[in-house]
Amino acid sequence: MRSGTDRLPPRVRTLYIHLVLITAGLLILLPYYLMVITSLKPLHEVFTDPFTWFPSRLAWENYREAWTHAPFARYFANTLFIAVVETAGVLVTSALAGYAFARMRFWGRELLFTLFLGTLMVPGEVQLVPNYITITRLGWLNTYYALIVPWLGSVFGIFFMRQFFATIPQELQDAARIDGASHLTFLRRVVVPLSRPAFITVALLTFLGSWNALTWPLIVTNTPEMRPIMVGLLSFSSEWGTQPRLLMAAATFSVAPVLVLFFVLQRYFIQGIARAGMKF
Amino acid sequence: MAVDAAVGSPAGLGPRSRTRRRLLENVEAWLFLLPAAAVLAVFHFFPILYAFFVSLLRWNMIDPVRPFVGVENYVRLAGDEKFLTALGNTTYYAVVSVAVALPLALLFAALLNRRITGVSWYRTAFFIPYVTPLAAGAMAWGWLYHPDRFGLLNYLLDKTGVPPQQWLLDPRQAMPALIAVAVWGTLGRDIVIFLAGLQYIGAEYYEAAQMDGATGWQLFRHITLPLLSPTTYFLLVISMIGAFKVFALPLFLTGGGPLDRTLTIVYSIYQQGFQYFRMGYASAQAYALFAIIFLITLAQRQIAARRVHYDA
Amino acid sequence: MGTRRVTIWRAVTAAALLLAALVGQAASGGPVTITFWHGMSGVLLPAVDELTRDFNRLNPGIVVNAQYQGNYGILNQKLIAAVAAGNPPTISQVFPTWTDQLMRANAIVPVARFFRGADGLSEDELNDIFPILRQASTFGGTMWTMPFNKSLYLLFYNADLLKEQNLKVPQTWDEFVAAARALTKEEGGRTVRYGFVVRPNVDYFTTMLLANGGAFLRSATEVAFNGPAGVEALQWLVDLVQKHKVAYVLPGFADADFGAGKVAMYVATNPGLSFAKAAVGGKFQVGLAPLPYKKAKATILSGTDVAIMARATPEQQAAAWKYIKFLTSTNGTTRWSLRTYYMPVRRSGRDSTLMRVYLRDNPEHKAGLDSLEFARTEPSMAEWQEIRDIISDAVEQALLGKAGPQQVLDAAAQKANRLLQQRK
Repeated sequence: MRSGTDRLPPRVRTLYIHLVLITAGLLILLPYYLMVITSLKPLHEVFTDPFTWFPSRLAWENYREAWTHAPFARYFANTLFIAVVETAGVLVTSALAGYAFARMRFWGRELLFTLFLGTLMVPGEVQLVPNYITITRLGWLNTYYALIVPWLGSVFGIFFMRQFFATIPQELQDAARIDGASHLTFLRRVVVPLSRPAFITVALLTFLGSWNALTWPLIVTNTPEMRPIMVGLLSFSSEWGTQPRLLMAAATFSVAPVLVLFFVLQRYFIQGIARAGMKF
Repeated sequence: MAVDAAVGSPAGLGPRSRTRRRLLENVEAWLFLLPAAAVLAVFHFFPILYAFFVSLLRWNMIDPVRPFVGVENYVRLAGDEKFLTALGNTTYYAVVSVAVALPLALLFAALLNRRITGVSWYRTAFFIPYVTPLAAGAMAWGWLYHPDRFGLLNYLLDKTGVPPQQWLLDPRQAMPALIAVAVWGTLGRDIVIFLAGLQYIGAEYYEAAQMDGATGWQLFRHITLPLLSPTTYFLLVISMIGAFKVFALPLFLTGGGPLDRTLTIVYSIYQQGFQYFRMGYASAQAYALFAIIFLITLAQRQIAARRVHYDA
Repeated sequence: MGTRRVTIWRAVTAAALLLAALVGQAASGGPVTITFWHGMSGVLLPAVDELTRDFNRLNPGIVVNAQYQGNYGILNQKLIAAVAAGNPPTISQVFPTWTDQLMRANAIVPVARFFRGADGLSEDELNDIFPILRQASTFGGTMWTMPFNKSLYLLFYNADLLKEQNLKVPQTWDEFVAAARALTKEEGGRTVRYGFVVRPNVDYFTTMLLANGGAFLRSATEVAFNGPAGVEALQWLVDLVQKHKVAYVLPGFADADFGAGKVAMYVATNPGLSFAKAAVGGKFQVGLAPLPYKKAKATILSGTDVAIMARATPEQQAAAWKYIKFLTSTNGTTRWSLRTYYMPVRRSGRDSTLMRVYLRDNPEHKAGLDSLEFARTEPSMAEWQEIRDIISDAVEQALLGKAGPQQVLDAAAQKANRLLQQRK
């Protein structure tokens, strides 16, 4: 890309690139390394001067202790359930709404879309208390309903689907109309199969958002049975101090599933974003 | 013939059936929107309206007495030193973090946009900070930033002869330190989005330009950047919006200090609303923030209209 | 098609019957269920659960659900939000400033209501509670909450290091400076260990304010912390860092540095001991001592009381009172204290055999119990929450050398007075 490196032989250029990427990668991962290495330190080595870069032994028991410190099995199950249901729900509502915005004409379309986008500009903290009161009035406090329903509509998801669906050629839609197909049929039979990258992208981002959610679940759950993982991580910190090795162990096994998911799906993920194009 | 006839409309002719068709299509569209709109209306629109109503009161959430004070809260925040400090801090944070993050992400995306071995691993590595829970990441960064000789960064600096820095404790260094953490956190997402944008640029553009004898830098300036502009614009907008809403970073790392140098607007809203229970005042601040973000996004849209090139 | 419909109907009927059974049971006068919201995490959580389990076992007609809600800040937010939504727990931990806000919104009922009754407290039992704790829970002459997990600020120190330097535990400010100096170690022109660490927050200052004979308030609308006693106290802290160079400033928990041996002494509350021990990991002995003083021995009370929500039904309130009585009984408070290092709330708890045996084996806890004699409370009006933050800002400014103690404290006093005057 730069004229300088263009003149280097390709082998050297690749080496150069690898070097840059590895250095950058190591720097980026430094805090993460601290987290993982702390999770494997025995108790007396967590706080030492000078800092121990590698523990004398790998304290795998930290993971067991962190797992049993709070009902993490339950937290995991909750988080998984909530994330899956929420993702499925978001895909459905976003596809429907995105399709309407992209391929249907109706009164108030632009206005409504702008309104939807506008909600992204308000900090979520403002919505906490009114939503809490709404949830209480509905009797949903400390239930899965409270954790899932408010997030079944995603403006980002709608926006993304709309961008992506807009790239479907008009000829396909005309052909479907001639065949007498309804909008729903067209959506189901033609648009969705063509939009796999978009669905994967929205699914991955929604899943991630749900997995990492902290503030809302913290407020609407009262008992450990209903809590997701991130809330569980909080139990390692308090007014009086933190238990770093347990927190880091828990953080590591909380992050692992999402990382694996990303690693496996990254190509679709990027494709999805690419095809959606970023037209406002 | 019927240009705006959509899929699924009954094949009737004549003006009356056309308006009926139009009406039916409207209803059908709204039905498509209904699931998402219902959820958004209850859990996003309603709270925003409710917050506006509350911003006109003086209320601590549980006091049965809640006097209507009109625009008093808004007037107050215009002259509130702490809020203005937060406004300045947040603007500084937004501008610098975006100005650093985007070019950096573009650089790495360009490097990762090649068919080199292990690119999946590199991409995952860059993405890890984005998925790391902040509660744990903040602790690790806290160790890096520990003041005095004990902190890890200072330990490394010490090897090169630089005296230990106060980092999060130094009023001048605290915000840049936070910005570094912020960039670290969003780099992965920005890289992925840039990667997507880069892949969207067809190879034929580069080939044509190279045949004309363009150098690497010229290729970048005249092909890549313009064709990337929709992506850049998108990232600019969402990064700015996100930056103005920053809260978790100062909450976990600095508590708004030192000397309120890392106090951001949302942090101020949190303090006023959830620690001092001044719900009216907090809501007014939230609306002020909304107005600011809205104006900035509008301004960005104006610039985009002139500078962003969409592919034909 | 037919079989599927039958299955569905069967499921629906079963669900309806189950629902009816549950509803029926609740209506037919089953056990009274109450919820207790708290912020006890770490080792404190099992301690709460253990006491709750015992109570439930001894009282088959009552079921207490003790639920951890997060740290104190989150607990506060959730509690107020729940009250606002009309769905609060039966009882909750509260700080005195929260009590003030809840009381003025008629959201809680005073525990004093339950003193005379079948399950009441005799005069002796009431007097058995430490006077300072009763005072902290009393608003307008009535006792509104029951003290539960009360702590106070103590000096944490590295006992091995003190022994190594042949130092006795410092008691006065001057002794403290001398000890800190002896404990600060330099190596190659750099400090590798500090004697003390100063956290730039309100508590480090206010404890020293009281230790210097100062006061919080002059009247209901005027603060007194910017008087000469306060200025001198803040100056002393600043001097530790700037002049004597025996301390450094750290905005977070000091247990990490303490455990790594980078600092020899710091100030924290009793429950911090379990975290200190965890951070130390057995590398050395942790000691506790009363805070150093200049004019008068003093320390500040912290920790929460328990309040009963007004929304609870009379049966629930009565049941909740029984539970509170259990938690704060001699036996209850002693067990709680031994498990969590919080102070016992009753004199009989402090003097109990169980406690005496424990102290014989763990003498470091004597410091806390002794300090109870001269513990003081902070003002408890709701506005004090924000005033604490205002004072913290001032302390931070002074410690970072941005301005002198008199200047920052005066500015803080001005803001604080304005808040107090706005109080209706």
